[in-house]
Amino acid sequence: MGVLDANPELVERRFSEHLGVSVRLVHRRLAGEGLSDETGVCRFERSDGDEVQLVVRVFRPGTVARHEVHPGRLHRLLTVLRLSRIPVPRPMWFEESPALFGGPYSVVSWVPGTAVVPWSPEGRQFLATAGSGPIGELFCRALSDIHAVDWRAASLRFLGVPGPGRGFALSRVDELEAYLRRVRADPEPILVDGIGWLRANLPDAGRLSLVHGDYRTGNMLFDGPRITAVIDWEFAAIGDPLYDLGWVCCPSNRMGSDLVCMLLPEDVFLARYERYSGLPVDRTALRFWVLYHQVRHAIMWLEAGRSFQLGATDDLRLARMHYTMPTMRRMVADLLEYA
Amino acid sequence: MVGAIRRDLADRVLPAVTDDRARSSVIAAMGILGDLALQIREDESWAPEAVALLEAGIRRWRPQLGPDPAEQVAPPPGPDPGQRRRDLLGAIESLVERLWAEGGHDELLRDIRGVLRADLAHQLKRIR
Repeated sequence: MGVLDANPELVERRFSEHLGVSVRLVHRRLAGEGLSDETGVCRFERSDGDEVQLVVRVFRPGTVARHEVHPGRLHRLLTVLRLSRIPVPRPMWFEESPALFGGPYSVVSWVPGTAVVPWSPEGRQFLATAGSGPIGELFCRALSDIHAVDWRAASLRFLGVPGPGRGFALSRVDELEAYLRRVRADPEPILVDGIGWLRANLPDAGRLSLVHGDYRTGNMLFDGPRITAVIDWEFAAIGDPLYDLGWVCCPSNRMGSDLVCMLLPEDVFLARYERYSGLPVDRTALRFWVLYHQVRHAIMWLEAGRSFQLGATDDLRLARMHYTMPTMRRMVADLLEYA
Repeated sequence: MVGAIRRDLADRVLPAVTDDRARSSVIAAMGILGDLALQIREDESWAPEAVALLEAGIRRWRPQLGPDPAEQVAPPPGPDPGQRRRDLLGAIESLVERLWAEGGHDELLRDIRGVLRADLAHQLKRIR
């Protein structure tokens, strides 16, 4: 059961209760090509004749890195961020019960804009062009804005506050090692080497900030020269802001391109981020987070294959990810400067 | 895997295709995949070469290691080269873990990485 086949009468009844007005379900479709959860756009007609469009996200087990995702926390975070200058969809409600859609779900307002698949030919072309315009600036400024959120004042402690100094990096590497042990079927000496390097090079977090956790061009909505929303906050945490920069600069996010996230040359991205944040980027610590994300991404690929093999998902895209594991290992080996 | 692809074509793709010509292509593809499934065998022809380079590396590292780790990196050979390769990689993984825990083995680690890179080259040849 999911967004498309949930009982329409039950959906209408439940949504009417939440919206405080009687609504009729007019249309529903799946949105985007997300690998993890199911996202649908539902259009309703209100009893007063107006239309309302809502985005429903149903959280699914059996995909990747679900141990890092707490659906209820995500809704709470968006409620806080709605008060900031960061463009996010308006959160409406969250329900833990799987009764309606087969899993816990959250509802946010629909936001105009288009999501791009960065590695598709169309996505690459769009982003390479957009990078030289306002979007290339907004991409850097929005990230700086996220890191500037006063998370203490905004009551974001529920995301978990890491220990000082190397605490954040250490806890992440510990989690990574446990994650690898949990999902691998065969030896992975290159990934183990990567984890060894990370453990020997833990950086001090210069400061702690809100981090998005999956900041990349594929998790944004674009409308002309604007970024109308930064979406997919399920990996958000309090941590080292370089965590996000490392993911932006990770080889996985620039496959076959010289541009980070298919958008900007790395030096341009870093210079703009430094300008907006007013803080220098420690290149040594950045290297740590780039490798961290590449190893993490490779482990997610392993998990994708395992989930498929165990029958936890029938999504062929996850099986395909597993088949490209040699490429993921090569990216880690390249970062470790294997001869 | 081929069976899973056929199921996905039948359950997810076909119902969404409305064009008759396109539907017949999908149905034909499902039929071909069904026949191919009977002929697919795991190709491990590359494994002996990979095993040889991993074993050569282990022979080279042995003098630099104490007796216990030397035993660790020399699991007894079996008839299946694919399994032998996995055993060797498992032993190398344990060795890498140990080298990082002890620290100060940069030269040995560099050599191990060279061998793992060569094994990786074999893996990469098997995908597009």
